[in-house]
Amino acid sequence: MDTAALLKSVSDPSDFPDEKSAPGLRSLDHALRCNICGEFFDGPVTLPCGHGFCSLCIREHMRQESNCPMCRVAAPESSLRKNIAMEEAIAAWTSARPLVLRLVSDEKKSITEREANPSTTPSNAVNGKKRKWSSEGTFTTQEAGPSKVQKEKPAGDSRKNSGQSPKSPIRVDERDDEVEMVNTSDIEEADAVDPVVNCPMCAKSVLESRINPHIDSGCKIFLASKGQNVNNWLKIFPGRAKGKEKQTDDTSNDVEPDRLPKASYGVLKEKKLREMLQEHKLPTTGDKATLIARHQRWIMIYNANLDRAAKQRKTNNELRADLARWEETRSFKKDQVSDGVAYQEAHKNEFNQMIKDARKRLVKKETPEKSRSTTTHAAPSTSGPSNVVAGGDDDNVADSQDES
Amino acid sequence: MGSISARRLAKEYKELNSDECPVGIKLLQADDFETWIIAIEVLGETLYKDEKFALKFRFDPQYPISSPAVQFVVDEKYQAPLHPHVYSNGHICASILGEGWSPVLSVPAVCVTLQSMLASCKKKERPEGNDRYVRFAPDNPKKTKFMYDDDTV
Ligand SMILES: [Zn+2]
Ligand SMILES: [Zn+2]
Ligand SMILES: [Zn+2]
Repeated sequence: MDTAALLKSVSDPSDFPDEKSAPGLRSLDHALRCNICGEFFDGPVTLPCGHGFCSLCIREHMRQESNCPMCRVAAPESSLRKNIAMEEAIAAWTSARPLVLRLVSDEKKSITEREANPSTTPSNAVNGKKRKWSSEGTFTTQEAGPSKVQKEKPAGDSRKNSGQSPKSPIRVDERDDEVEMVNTSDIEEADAVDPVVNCPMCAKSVLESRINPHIDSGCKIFLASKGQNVNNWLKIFPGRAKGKEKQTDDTSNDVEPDRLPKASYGVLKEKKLREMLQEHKLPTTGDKATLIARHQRWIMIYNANLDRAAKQRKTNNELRADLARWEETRSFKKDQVSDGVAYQEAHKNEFNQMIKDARKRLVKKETPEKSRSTTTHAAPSTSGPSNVVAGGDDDNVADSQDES
Repeated sequence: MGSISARRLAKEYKELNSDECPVGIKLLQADDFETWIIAIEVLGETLYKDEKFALKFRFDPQYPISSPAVQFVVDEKYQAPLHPHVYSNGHICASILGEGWSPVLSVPAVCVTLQSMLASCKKKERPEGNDRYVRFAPDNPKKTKFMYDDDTV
């Protein structure tokens, strides 16, 4: 894989501020990710226990053990069911993510700026208070919340006071129905009597109903017209705009392709194996172990691909390319650290780049806080140390002593 | 696809260097995807108060489907903790490093588990048969399981 592309795509929940300053964002980003690979679910599937993984990730795991990696409940590969709702949520979130990240960082910047130079914003700054531009053309003060991403006050409250919409497009925790309100009634109501005012901070023209969000954004966000506003929301929730046509798409069942059955390779001759590979237009080079590994992998990625929604699926040629890449980077011998050496060498540059990139990002991190419990979530069978340790000597050395 | 292990480790690297890194855990060395060294301390009132240990992690390209090879560092600077499941060569008898491994575990999760393994220790002693094990132990502790199965120790 191309290094630049790899770097760009290594994202994780910590790209967002912590729970305190942006409630729910990290957890949301975490909830849509596979705990095996750490990426957003690719072809999400659910096990009978309810836990979910990428189709390919869990199939790889199930080659070794037929159970759930989270809770260890037994689950055969045949019990995997695809999770269409999850896939749609991920499609929506991945398209909203860049915008949300940008809004969050704008928000953070404007807070820092205001805290750093209160003097440059004389008419606006009162320590610990946030000023709002009211319809009377005067500032009212309001307790600043712990974070601007949180809603400072119930919506009704400030609206009654000022006759303004308190909604800011940079608040990312709005519920659906509230979004609706911004898009329609709120704006329409305001539009009739919504004069353009000059911002007291930057002197630019802004709709009066939008002046508070504008000031909140450090004079970065201009919502000149309602059209622009609506568009921003559509970017965040593209699923809502397209919901209808998507649904009909999915139910207009094209015939589902059949999954490939697993073969029992033990009894197969090499000639037969080559035929089986040819059948799928796969290379027939290599020794028997290579042929088997290739065929097994093909079945796995082919079946995993069927757990993607039809429009997300890769073509057979793309799958063949994936298979080729897999053969390149993986040795067919399993579980040998020494086999890793050549691979590690080959990826050294990739790694160094990633480290650099990670460091750059980490410099920006604020003071350490109590860590989130990602690790405890992830640990399936570590409820207590007593479960963890497989009684050292008794099971092992002592046993063998008896035998010898 | 071949880079799942690289991408996973990149994320874990970020976590270990962030505010989400568990208390008492510190990444000391990670020059590549092959070997990482991590400092580990046991916090609170335990038998290992004020002792510092280091863990060596080795990864293969199948990580995290296959477990990492994990052991305590034993050199001029570090010793293996005196614990009934830790051999003097640093090898650890913990199920999560063998059959109990799950691909949803991670480097920080393993560190935290080993921390609590040490924290709950009642008596500082080596496993029975330590000397014999250490004499025949393979370099890679993951191979130890293989030997147990074969009963050829
Ligand atoms: Zn996955
Ligand atoms: Zn489960
Ligand atoms: Zn349904």
